[in-house]
Amino acid sequence: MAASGATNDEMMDIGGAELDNNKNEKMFTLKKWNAVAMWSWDVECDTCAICRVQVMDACLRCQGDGNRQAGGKQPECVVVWGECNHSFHHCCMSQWTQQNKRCPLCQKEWSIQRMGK
Amino acid sequence: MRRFGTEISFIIYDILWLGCRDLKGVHKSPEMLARYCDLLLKKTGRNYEDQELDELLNQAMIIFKFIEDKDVFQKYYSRMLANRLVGSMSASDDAESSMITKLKVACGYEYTTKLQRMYQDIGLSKDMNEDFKLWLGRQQIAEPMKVDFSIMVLSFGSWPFSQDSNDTFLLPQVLEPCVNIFTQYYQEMHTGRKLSWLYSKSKGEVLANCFGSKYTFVMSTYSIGLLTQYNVKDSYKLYELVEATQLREDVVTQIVQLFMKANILKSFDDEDKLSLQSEIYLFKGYKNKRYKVNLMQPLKTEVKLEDEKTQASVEDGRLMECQAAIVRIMKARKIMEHQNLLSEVIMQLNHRFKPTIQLIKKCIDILIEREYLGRREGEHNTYEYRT
Ligand SMILES: [Zn+2]
Ligand SMILES: [Zn+2]
Ligand SMILES: [Zn+2]
Repeated sequence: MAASGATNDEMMDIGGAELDNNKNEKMFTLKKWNAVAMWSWDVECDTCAICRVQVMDACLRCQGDGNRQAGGKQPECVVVWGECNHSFHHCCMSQWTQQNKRCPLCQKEWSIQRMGK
Repeated sequence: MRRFGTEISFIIYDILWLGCRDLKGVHKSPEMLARYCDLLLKKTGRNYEDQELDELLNQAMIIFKFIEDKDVFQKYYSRMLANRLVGSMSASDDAESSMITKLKVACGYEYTTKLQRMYQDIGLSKDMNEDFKLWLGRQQIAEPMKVDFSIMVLSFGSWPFSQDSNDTFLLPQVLEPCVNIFTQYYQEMHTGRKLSWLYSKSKGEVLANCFGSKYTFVMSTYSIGLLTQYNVKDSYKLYELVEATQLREDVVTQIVQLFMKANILKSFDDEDKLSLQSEIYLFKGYKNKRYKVNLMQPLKTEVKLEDEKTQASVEDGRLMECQAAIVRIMKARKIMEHQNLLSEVIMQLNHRFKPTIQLIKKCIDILIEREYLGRREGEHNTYEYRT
């Protein structure tokens, strides 16, 4: 995160200065903060190795189907993590495991560690 | 309504004719049309009545029909919509969604998928802020937030923004509790997600007590990080500001320039001749008729980066759309001869952009490599869909 990289000394400096200023009102005081953040799946590789589409996007098949739901939100096209920590589209992996019960990346036996929510 | 008639003919002239004339700028007309829509839809001093606005948007849609590279328009439109939504700069929610509907009617559902998802994210964020407040009420928090906090959480990929991974920044201490507490909430609500904060798009309101009157400045988080340094002392060398904020030198320079233009900071050096050694001091004689001053402005380097990304995303988008079209066609037909597939793909994509044969071939090769397609045994020119 961006806040890292501050050494302890620097933190102390700023803290000390703030104390001095607290006697009178500070010159500049932050009142309100409207933050913007982005969420993404916490994956090591952001591309699904099975369909080669970014895991944040719907998998290639779901895109090809042109899912007609409002806003293109496809609730079941989430990410799935295996015990080996590799991750894929849940859609892609369900199809894959019908033929092969091993992880396509490391060949270890596939078992689900967690599902994205 | 007649005056819009003349107005629109000028715009058609500008957008189509000037757009065509610029030989290098193949992408110019769609970009200009998107900018025009942005002007209509953005909150400004003079905004239109709902009905007038709708009429103007309808006229923009007439121009839209003449534009060849509809995917380029989409990229620029989505970038400007994103900035309107994130900056709460939309003149009218109804007009925004009615424009999305017009585009959907003209180009089909997929064309507006990402625009709609952006819209959804804003709605979800509103609900989430409510929920977060309730959650906060139930928590025992050691270091509570000292500012009025709200947030928009956008899904990566639907928005034309990227994580500023090479941007360093020392978050002002007062904001640390906001980031920590909200992250804790978000991790409790979801599984497998991570958050990255877009500080340059996050804005804050700063109350200034050091001038003749009290002013409220609206500014980006980077600007907050820089200006609050002046709580400690009245003057800094530019390199000291770089050290204190840990922002890149060119970012600090641009923010200082912005404050200099606003007459809040001053230097003995000219605005455009700042160096690391320049002395930047607080101008205590600051005056403004307005008590709330908007200093939220995208930095030039950010705009340039966004321009480049828009261009790149057009290329990426074409590659993806073309592959999706091939998969769609082959899934329906199962077996297809090369020439027929080419013309079918061109037909499907024509309303969006004109794919080159080269592009389609490239996509076929990619899909063969990924085993979505195969060449038929004995008939090299015929493809089969593989499940
Ligand atoms: Zn996939
Ligand atoms: Zn899927
Ligand atoms: Zn694995």
